[in-house]
Amino acid sequence: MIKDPLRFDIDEEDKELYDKLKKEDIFKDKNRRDQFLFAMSIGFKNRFRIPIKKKLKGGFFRTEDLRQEDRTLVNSVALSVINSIEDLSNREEVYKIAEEYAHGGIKLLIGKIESTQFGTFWKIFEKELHDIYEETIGD
Amino acid sequence: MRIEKIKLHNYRQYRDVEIPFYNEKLNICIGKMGIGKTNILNAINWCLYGEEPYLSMESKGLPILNLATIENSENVESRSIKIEIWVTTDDNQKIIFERKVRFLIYDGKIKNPVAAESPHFEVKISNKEGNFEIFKDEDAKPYIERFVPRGTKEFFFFDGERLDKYFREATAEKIKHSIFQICQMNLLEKVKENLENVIKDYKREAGKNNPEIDAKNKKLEDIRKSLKDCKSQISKVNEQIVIAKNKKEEYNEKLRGLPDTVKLQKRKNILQERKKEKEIYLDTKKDNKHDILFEIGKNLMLFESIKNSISIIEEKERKKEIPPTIDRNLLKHLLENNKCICGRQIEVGSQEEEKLNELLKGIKLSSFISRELLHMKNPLISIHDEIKQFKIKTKEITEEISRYQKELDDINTEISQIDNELGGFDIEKIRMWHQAYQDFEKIYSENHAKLIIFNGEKEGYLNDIENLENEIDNDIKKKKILEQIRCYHDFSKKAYNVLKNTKDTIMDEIRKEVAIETKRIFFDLMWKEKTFEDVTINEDYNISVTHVMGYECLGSISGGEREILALSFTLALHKISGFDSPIIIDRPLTMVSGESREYVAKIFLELALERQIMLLLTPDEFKDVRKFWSNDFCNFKEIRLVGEREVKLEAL
Repeated sequence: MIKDPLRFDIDEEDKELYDKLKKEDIFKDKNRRDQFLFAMSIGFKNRFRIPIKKKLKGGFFRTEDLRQEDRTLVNSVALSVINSIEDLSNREEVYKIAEEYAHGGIKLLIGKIESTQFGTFWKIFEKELHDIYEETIGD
Repeated sequence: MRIEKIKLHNYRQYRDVEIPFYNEKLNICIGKMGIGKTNILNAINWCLYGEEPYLSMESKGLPILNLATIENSENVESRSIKIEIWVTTDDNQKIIFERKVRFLIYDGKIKNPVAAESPHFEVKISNKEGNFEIFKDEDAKPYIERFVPRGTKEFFFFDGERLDKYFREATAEKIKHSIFQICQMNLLEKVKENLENVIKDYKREAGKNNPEIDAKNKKLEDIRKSLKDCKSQISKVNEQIVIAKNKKEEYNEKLRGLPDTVKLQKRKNILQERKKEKEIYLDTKKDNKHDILFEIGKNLMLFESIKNSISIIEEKERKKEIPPTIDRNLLKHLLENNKCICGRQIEVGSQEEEKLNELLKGIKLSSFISRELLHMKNPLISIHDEIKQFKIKTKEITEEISRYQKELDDINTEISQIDNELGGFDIEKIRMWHQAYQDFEKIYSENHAKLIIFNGEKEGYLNDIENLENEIDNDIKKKKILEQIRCYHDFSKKAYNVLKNTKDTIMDEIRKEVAIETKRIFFDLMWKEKTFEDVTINEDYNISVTHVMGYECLGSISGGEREILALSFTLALHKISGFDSPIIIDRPLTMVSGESREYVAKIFLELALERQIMLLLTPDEFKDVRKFWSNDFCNFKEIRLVGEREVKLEAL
């Protein structure tokens, strides 16, 4: 019987970064799951995956909180990295990939936020998204 | 006529004072508050008419006889007050108006009233030989009427406050009354009243012979009484209308050029409410946009992986690897235990075992993987589709935000425009002015409505009176026995009608002349050019001043302008009536301040060249205008206190 790990972990040092996210309007109402997945997607987009050195005690959030759509995204990220599709059944590995991208992603995200004027991040972010859209999808 | 001097003996503060009057010079009397300036006006009134209309509360408590005289009198000694007004007519005839009264002093007090004689009045008039002819009491009175008639005295001897108040509280009734008084219409009015009474008497007489006429006469009296009450109500309502109209104009003038703060404040409040609403909408829309950016943005960054995952799933489906037909783990389990799914034992190396191994090789994916992939398919497609909507959705929400932002900007612009309009103004004061304007507007409208009702009632009463009078006239005609009474009655009535028409015609003619003269004098005296367009007194005796801009401005003219208007009206009345007697004004500058005070002071100087004028001033009022009055054109006297009970007049 294949089982998911109980929690998603983050690096101990990332806790402070996630707390900082709350100061930005765009993240102010978001829970840990949403923050984590957002960080993961940034990490993935930038192919910035960093192994976790020291896990935050107690984990970051419970994997049972993932909705089907979220689980799909986590699996999807893993599918882009793993060598064999069979490895998808290695849930520890799948979740580890997500955690490592989120670890890289949160650093990039905070770096971006801190390099912009307060309150303007979402405007810059919107512009970047439009660029990504043009690059990846186009008209 | 010119006053040469006024001699006061034992009159109040004036124990023995002679006040000289100069021609072609402005006569100025300066005295501190309470020293007795106003008692000069009282002395003139007492001498000519036996009354003291301007007595202060303090003076009312004191005896008319000089206090020092009382104190210095022996017990049981008589002392008299005497006032003489020396006048010269245009043909150099001398007239002395003299009133005196004698008091008995008893134990340091006036033994009143028994000890006081009735005031004794006489007029001494010089004849061609230079001798004086003396007229006493009733014989003397006609001479006063030729100097300053009793009914018009308040147009010659008055306090300055009256000038200010005159057109503040000017009702048509008051103006009509003034014209009536100054034109000596009393005689005509008296004859008219007498004829009215004569007619009533004839009717009453006829009533004695006929109960029907008597009943009608009584009814007529009742209606006349109601008409009188009604007229009195109309007069009160008219007074309220004039006050409200003037106040409305006063506030309207104050508010002229000022922003309509009430309206603007109301608009600002509405805008602020709307602003709050729009801010909430805008924040909601911004949050919506943030959600779109967050959700679709997150997925967009994973677009490659999503696309890749969809390809994998579709590939597996194409190869029919999903969905799995047989559970791979179950097959493995059967082979390990050499058992068929039906429970039968399978021999090693048998055909069945070979078939199961072939089947196992064909199932490449585990059922867990298949299930995961299948569960992923729909969400991935939906995410994929949603990502493709990113541009449209962000465009829509951005446009909505821009629209709300634009609306909010417009609101903010209007609010700052209102703030700019209101900036620098005392909002509360302006609000109060607006409120006061509306209050007087209400009073004005309410009283107008009342006036319509009362006028209707008045018309009704007049009709009833006319009908009843006609009925009574006819009744009298029918009765032969009343033939003689009818003749007297008809004659009196005709005479009455002629008199009434004559009086109305004279009054109307005089009104027109007074209006023209008031306007002429006002424009002659006014120092401000091109401020006023017209001054009129209409058929209903309502005075109006028209601003050059075309609006009625009587209620809003300054204190100085109002005083000049009242002075112009007074002088017009003098001119039309033919009386050019001296004018004596107590404190004429009290209600005028600043620049207007200077101009009014200069105007008095001009007027003094044409007629005799005496002004009674306080030192403060005098100090302000002293520089405009040179010694060449003015005669200055100061009223000074001597001891505690007496004043003297000294040259300044």
